[in-house]
Amino acid sequence: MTLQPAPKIKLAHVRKEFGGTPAAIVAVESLSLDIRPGEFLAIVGPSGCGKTTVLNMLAGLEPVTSGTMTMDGKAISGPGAERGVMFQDYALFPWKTVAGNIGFGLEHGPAGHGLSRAERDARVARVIDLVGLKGSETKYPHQLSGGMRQRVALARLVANEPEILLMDEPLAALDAQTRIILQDELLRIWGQDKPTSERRTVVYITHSIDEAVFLADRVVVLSSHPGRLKRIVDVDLARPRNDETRKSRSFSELSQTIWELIREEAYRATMQ
Amino acid sequence: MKHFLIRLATPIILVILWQLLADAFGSPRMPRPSAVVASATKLIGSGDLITALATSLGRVFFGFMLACAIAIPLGILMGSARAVERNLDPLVESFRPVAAIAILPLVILWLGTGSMAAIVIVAYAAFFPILINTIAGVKRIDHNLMRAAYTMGVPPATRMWVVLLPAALPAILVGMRIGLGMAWTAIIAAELAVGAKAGGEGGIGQMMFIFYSYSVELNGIVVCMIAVGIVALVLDRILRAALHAAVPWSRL
Ligand SMILES: Nc1ncnc2c1ncn2[C@@H]1O[C@H](COP(=O)(O)OP(=O)(O)O)[C@@H](O)[C@H]1O
Ligand SMILES: [Mg+2]
Repeated sequence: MTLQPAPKIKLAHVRKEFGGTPAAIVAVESLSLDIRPGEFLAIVGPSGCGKTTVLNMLAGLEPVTSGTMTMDGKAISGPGAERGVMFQDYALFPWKTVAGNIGFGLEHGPAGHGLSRAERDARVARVIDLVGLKGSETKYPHQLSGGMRQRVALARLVANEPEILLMDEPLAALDAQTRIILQDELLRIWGQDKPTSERRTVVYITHSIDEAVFLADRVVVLSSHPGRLKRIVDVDLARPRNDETRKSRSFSELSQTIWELIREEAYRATMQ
Repeated sequence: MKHFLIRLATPIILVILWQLLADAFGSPRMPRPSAVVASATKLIGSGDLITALATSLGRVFFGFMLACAIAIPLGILMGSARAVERNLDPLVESFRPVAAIAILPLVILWLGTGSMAAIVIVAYAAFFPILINTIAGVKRIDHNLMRAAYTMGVPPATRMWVVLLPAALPAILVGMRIGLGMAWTAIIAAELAVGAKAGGEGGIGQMMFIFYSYSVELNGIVVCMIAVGIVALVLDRILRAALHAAVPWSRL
């Protein structure tokens, strides 16, 4: 057992209800979880199990009903620029071009404080390059395909360089090939070639088990109605990960393990 | 060219029918195309028609600006603060069906006759469509856009300017387009409040009123009606183009 550094984010007995009593929907119940600095944490679970709700609470957009949620020991009481969010529906500004969307946080938020105009533009250009959007800088979101919009949302998140990246099914709208390419890109952006101390912390929601296993250090499996912690699976696949990883036996074994954990519920959710 | 001719066919046939029917059955005083054209030539030649339209357009412009200056901020406030909306909505809804011409007597009592009275009536007519569309636009904005800016640490006041306003802008512009149409429609009623003036100085509405009640020139009235219609069409086309240019991202 190696010595673990203090958790970056700590959830203790978190419960989330929607609507008033007595007709309240319990979306998340007694969720306790430590998120370590620099780790890539994936959350999987059947649809409707409360994944987005957990992410919104981490983002500070939804208050917890009871329990505590702390970052660096301090309670999370609202959004902060150090926690960047990539929304499930991208939330791109329709009146901004690709470059305008990506530079939005730098232009109007604290992420751009202390940066000159030229430095901001340079950062935007670099990130556009990174996600493969070169040539589309002046397009508007409505002129882009779903996959390209998703890249813009990813680029906007990355451009703000938040300490913690909260991502809600960020690659879900992409075709299989593009998704694989962007998974590799994502790991590179996150810093899988760097020591853990230089990596950012990522909380990554996905409904794809393969994706969770390929990307994450640990996979949190939630069960539904209400959302509870079912198991945390350690993914001890070597880094850097690449196509070899996808073909390896331990990769498929881990995927299989997680699949068995949620199979029953996934079926049940489908039948409903 | 051919398309142009086809589009003109209906009006040309109607004008010919009008002339034929008026010649066959009408009294000598009934307006007919030949007389209307003669009247129009005279009114344009003397410069009176142009002066009248320019005067009216000026009033519509100021009234419209006044309406925007009040309706847009108020609409944003009502659309974003539930408490404000609940307080003001009954007031707005009870005034909305009151036509601009119905407030004419009150306006004349308060402001006397003159341009100011006409401007206020025009502003009243333009006010409601702008207000209603602004409220709807603000209410309908994608909640996640505000949340996205919030998570990027953009302060609340800045969020108003850089998210709320641009997100509601297409709806506000639609309201402005409808509002300008209403303002121009109201000008004829509004200029009843101007008081009789010679030539075109009173505006197109006053000119019509003089033709009606003093000189009894029916052909002149028809010329005014056609001029009002043409200006309305041109105004709307200009605004539509401006709207598309202003919000290229929005498929209005
Ligand atoms: N704002 C809300 N009001 C009421 N119920 C909600 C709200 N947001 C989510 N829920 C409910 O909470 C549960 C979890 O939703 P969500 O977190 O979106 O699940 P997931 O992202 O895993 O699909 C669902 O039953 C959903 O209907
Ligand atoms: Mg979700």
